[in-house]
Amino acid sequence: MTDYKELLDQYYDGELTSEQEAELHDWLMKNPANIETFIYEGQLHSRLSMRSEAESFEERHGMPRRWWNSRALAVAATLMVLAGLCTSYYLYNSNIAVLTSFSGDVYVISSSKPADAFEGKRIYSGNQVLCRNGGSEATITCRDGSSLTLGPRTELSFSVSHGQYQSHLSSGSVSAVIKKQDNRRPFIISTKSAVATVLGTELSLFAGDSSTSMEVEKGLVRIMRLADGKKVEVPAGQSVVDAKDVEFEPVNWQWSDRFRGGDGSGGAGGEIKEVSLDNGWLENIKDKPDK
Amino acid sequence: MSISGEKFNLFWTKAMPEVSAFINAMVPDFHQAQDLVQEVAVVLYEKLETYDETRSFTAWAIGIAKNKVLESRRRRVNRPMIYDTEVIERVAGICADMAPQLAERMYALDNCTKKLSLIGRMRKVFLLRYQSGLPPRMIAGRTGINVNNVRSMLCRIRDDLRKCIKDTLKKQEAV
Repeated sequence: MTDYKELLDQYYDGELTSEQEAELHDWLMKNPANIETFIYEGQLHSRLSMRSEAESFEERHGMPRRWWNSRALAVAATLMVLAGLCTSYYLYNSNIAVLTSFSGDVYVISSSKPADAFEGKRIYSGNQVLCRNGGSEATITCRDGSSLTLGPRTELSFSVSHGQYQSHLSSGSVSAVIKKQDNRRPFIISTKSAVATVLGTELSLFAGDSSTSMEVEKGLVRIMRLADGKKVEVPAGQSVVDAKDVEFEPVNWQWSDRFRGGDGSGGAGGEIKEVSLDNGWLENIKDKPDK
Repeated sequence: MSISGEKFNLFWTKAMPEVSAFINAMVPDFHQAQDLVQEVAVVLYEKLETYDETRSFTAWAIGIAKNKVLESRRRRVNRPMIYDTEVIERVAGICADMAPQLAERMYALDNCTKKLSLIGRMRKVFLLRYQSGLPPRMIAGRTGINVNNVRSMLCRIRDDLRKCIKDTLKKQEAV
């Protein structure tokens, strides 16, 4: 077989010369085993032809070839891995905060569906946190370590865009300890009537239907009144109120404390005392009409 | 299906591997060989009434195939064949007696052919040789690949297949 393999290949390839044909003839006549080999080789070439016919059929009918199949599998596997990575990346990025503690009636609302809160519940971009009744409270910790404590009857929505946190306080109150933010991507807390731009500070924000009040404990916060676009910078120990008949200027905490009728514990350097609008914190301020 | 049709199917199914083996050995052109196998089947069906059931159907079928091979020699001479009648007789005789070995080998051959990995230039050469039926010289002209390289590529494909068959048969024997 070894000696005559080439000769047989040439025979089946149609390249046999007359001399080689004679040589092959002699070889076949010499031994019946050679004829068996000859027959087996015929089968081998016939099967190779069948395989090529099958490939041709598959190609004509758009069927993937075997070797291509393995490539397709590799590509599909790669795409699946990439999809997995993208999903993880998306989930990682959209998971912007975690509900670290809560009490009372607290819900996390996503796609208009309220879900019961539990400690450790992830808050994704676009979710809302609702502290429904008077005794409810919730603390949220953002991925960057900033934390927001929502007071009773508070509705706060969250989103993150290009690494910039944005939250909207529809009603109620929130105390925030904001970690240092990138200058280009400050933490935004908006209400219906004002927008606070935070680069890293501690503050409390109170929102009514058409009024906003903010107290700053540390750092500096720029707040803009949406009605006329007026911006003021509120340093530590000062507060600002956006309400009818109240000047939109920073004043000492003690000033705002008067509105609380408090005991002075919310004074400069002290802890922020949360008071919601419903507790009559702005009872002396008549809400302005919506701007 | 008539009685003769059923009987024919039964006989032909048994004899076809040996008849194909014989024709494939004697006629290197695959398509020509396929045509001949079909022609043999038609003749067998037509002459079924004359078949003596005390004799081997396979031997009878190979006898008819032998005549068809000799006939094709007169019809088409574009591809080399082993024309010597003595060789044809000997090959036919051995084919008729090698049914068990052929079945075993065909099983291995089928499995190994499926496993063949053909990509790139190798696949191109393979298709030109076995799909278009071109000899290595023409494949070289068509692809620009040196004829010796074409031959060695084809040789590699066949060697892989032979090795696979050998290993498979060895495993079967061991079992």
